[in-house]
Amino acid sequence: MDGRNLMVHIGKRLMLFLLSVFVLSLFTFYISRLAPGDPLLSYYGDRVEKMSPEEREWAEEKLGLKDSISVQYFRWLEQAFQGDFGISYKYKMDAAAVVGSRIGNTVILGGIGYLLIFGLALLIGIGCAWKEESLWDRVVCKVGTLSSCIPEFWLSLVLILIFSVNLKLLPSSGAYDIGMEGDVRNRIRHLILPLTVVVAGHLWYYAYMVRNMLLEEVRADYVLLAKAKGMKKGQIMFRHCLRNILPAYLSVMAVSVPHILGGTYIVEMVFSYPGLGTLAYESARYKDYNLLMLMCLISGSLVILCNMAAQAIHEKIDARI
Amino acid sequence: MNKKKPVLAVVILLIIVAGCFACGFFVGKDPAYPDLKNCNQPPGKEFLFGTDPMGRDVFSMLWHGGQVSLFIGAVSTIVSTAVAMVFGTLSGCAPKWGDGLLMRLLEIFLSIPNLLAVIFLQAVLGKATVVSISFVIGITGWMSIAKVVRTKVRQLKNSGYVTASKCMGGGFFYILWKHLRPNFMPSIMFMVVMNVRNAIIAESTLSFMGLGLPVESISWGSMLSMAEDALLGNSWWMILFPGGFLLVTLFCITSIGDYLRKSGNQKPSNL
Amino acid sequence: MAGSLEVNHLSISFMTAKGEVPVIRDAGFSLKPGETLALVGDSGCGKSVLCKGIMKLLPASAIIRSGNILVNGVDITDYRETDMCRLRGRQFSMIFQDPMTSLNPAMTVGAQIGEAVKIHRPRISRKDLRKRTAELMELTGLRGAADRMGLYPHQFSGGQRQRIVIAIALAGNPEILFADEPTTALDVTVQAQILSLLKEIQRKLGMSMVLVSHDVHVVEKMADRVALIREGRLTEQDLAKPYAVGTGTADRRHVLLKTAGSLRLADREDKGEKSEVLLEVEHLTRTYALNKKRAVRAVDDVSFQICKGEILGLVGESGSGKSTVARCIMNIDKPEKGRITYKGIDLCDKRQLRANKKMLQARRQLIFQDSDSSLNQRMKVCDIIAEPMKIQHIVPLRGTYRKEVEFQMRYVGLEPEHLDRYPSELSGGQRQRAAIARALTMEPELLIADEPVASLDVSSQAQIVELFRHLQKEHGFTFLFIAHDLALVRDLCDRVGVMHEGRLVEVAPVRELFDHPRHPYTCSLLAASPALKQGR
Repeated sequence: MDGRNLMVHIGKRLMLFLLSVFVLSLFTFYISRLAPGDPLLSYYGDRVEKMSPEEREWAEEKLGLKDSISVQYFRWLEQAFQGDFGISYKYKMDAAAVVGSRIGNTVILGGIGYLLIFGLALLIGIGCAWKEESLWDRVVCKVGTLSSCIPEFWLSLVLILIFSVNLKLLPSSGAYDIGMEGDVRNRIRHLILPLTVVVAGHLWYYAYMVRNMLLEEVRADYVLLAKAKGMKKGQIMFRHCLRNILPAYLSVMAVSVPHILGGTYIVEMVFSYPGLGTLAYESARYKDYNLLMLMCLISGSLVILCNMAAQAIHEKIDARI
Repeated sequence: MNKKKPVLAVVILLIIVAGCFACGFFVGKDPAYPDLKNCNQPPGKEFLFGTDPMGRDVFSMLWHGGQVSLFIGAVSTIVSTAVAMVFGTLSGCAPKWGDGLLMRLLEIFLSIPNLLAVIFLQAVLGKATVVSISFVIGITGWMSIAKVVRTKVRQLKNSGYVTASKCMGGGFFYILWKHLRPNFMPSIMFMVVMNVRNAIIAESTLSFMGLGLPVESISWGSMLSMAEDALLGNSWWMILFPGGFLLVTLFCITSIGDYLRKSGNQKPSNL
Repeated sequence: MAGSLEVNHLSISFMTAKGEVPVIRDAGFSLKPGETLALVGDSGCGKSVLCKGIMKLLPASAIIRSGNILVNGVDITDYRETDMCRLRGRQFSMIFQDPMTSLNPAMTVGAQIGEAVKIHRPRISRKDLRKRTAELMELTGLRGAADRMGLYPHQFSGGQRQRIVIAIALAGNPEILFADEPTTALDVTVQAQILSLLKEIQRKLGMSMVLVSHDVHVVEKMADRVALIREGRLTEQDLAKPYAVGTGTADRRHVLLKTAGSLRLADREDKGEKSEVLLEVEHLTRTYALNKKRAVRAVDDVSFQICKGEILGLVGESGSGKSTVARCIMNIDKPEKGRITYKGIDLCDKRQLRANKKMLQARRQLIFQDSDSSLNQRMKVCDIIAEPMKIQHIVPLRGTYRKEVEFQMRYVGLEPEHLDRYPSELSGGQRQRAAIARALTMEPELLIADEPVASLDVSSQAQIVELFRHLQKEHGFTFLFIAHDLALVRDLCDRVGVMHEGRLVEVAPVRELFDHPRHPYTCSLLAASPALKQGR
């Protein structure tokens, strides 16, 4: 591909991306507003119930909820283009600022979890495929299957019960103790339990996938030829089989970014970890429209971007086969 | 290389399912009756698995709650399988551009975290009933099945017997039902079974978040939703017994699903 | 450089869920340096297992029950995997049946050949490695090696890929080469090239060779000595009179074809051209788009006629457009240009097609190459054969569908006990019979058979051809028979058309075509077919 072609290619992709995000925002906006629920509740809390009709009217006017949905949408779109995503009803501050204050925590938890999951999955998968149906393989498979059956929240509870309540070794909630924001060791102590749950919740799914992909690869005819060449088992496994599954694995990794980040959500909630998950949940539950829109845009863009990355990896393989 | 049949898993699962639906006969206590004198009792002679903070008997709640959980698992799986079959066949039979469009759509759906989608949908829908929960879980869990159905249909539609059937004058739905369905069923069976598992997990997680069934209606999920309070009171039986029950059921289902996946093409390894 | 091999009383079993299955029973042979030994037998008799067993390439479920293997006088029976790795590639090497799958699709061919070189010379410099790789590619007849090293396997044709596999096998200068059906998956013309390449290389490098084949003619050309395998037992044969032994069905076909063929020719001689034209194909053209820029012309301006009651053979190598012609006639594929008329009905015209839909669906029937995929694995034979009647809502003549099916089955040589079996429980020949029965239930006027015997082993091939001949005589249907094997066509057909790269290069009555081929491609096809050379 020459330079010009590449530019056109990237340009096309960019257009597609913007279009998808636009459609997504449109959908979220309409659905969230048409769904039952009272947005004033998140702004005024319990006071809403005691408000007179006039007060209500005034409040809705103030928040710009009186116009038709389409008008509201275009106002939002116009502001969004200028970087203004409106205020969060609940936190009474800029939605972007609310998200900004939390996003770091989620990225730390999700990011470390992501690396751990995919690193370990590859190791475990290779370990199992190395000798199929060996004792190690069978034990790992059983334990893995069991781990995939445990609901994340329940595992979190049991871990808290054991390590925090009974053994009092690790903290049960938060990202850091009050006043110790900069203390790395304190943060790590708070991360251990949530991270364990995040990793345990996803690890087996991917490890099992690696194992099965490798086992399929090992059954291909070219392995026989490689063996007839005189290659050793390890050489065949790493130079041929692993190499062949790697593109597929990378593309799965790309698609899984939102899954892992989204999976931190329950963990964040059980451990009262201040991340995006809790925020997203609250905003959907209490009709904090502006915050909800921003959350949807962020996660939607992530989903679409990751999909595009996966597709790009796929196309690279396609060019070869 | 034939995998051993998961006899133990099937037997245990059958016992649990039968027990849940026939619990009226052997469980003496009313699961909904709040015995306020005996709140938060640890397991003992009177209350086999202890009581919850409202004084209800955990043992009888477990069996009765199973009904709801299993029902949700089954119904949502039927919903998702039906949607997946329609979508998959549609995409598999569509011309190239239509297939591409549907697949892009599917991939986007697929990369939305499942549980998150359930939570959001339920949060938007508001008050939950058994049917609405089944529906929400079902409607968010069909994507991976649809993908397999589509791939299968695309392979099958060029196979000799489909062409032959077309030449003989077999119509679209005739071919779909007689030739395609029996052939893609085995390859999605595993996922269908896994969907039952995922649905039960999703229900319990929903209940735990407070979005599921109200505490008065008993399911394994709603029982576990009280677990956070149980943590404070260190009443471990409220966490371990329902969780253990759930875990055993899920493990049995998973073992059966794994067996379904493995039986079939087992060529020996070349390495 | 040549190695010797001795196998004594070797028995190999597979451990399966149903218990131990012996595959090789007490086999013994010896291979002297520089010699070529051919292992001949039907599919499934254990030829490949024997070779792979010697190289210890079998899956873990295979165990050596007894006997020993000596390579250059050294007993390797109890060697472990690590010891075997040292021997493989250097002492012996192997070529596999299907070059399409035996190369790693995701690695360049240069890398795959180079890898094989590097295993035996780990300290080779990058420059020397390149040189040696190019040398190996040139040796196996791949020209322009330097430029093609960076290509991936899918960019090569089947024959070229087999050459690459041979290059890999030769990389470690093996003393013994096992060739496991090296030409079975290839086209006839390519087969001959690969065989002469193997012969030449063997002479040049002075290797010993074990050649596995089910084709007597290949063996005759290549081998110094022949060993027949039947149900895992091995008997060594004298090459001077290989057909004297009535064991393998491989030779039976040979005899059968020879006798039946001559009868046939005499039989057909006096048939005049008086009957009416049933099907007419005029200037048929069909192109497939590979991508936006390139398109391949599968069928290019093909015209021919078939008269009522005639058998027309259509011959050509794979990819020559034979199947596409059949698909166009059956309305599975739409032609781009040209006309197909069947009994005066224009098959390309939508209105005429719709008006005669029912009649056409019943009167034209197609039999596929691969009975494996043309029968639904999840339907019973009984339902499969009854399917066309059910779709067309035909009331069965003999009361119930089941009785009707039973009648048809007996007619094509299937027993009533097969009624409730699934296709996977039948042999390849039986499956093809079921497919024929399904086509015959509709009493077709035109039967198109697209390579109906290509995926069968030789003995069933002859039986099915025999069945076709018999049925045609009884029913008198018009028959378009597509094949890549000239020998089969000669025995069955009245006229033969030869297709090459989408064009119909020659159509002639069968005797004329075989005695006086006009087109050079027909000549090369005739020359490449070993069975015909024997027959004459």
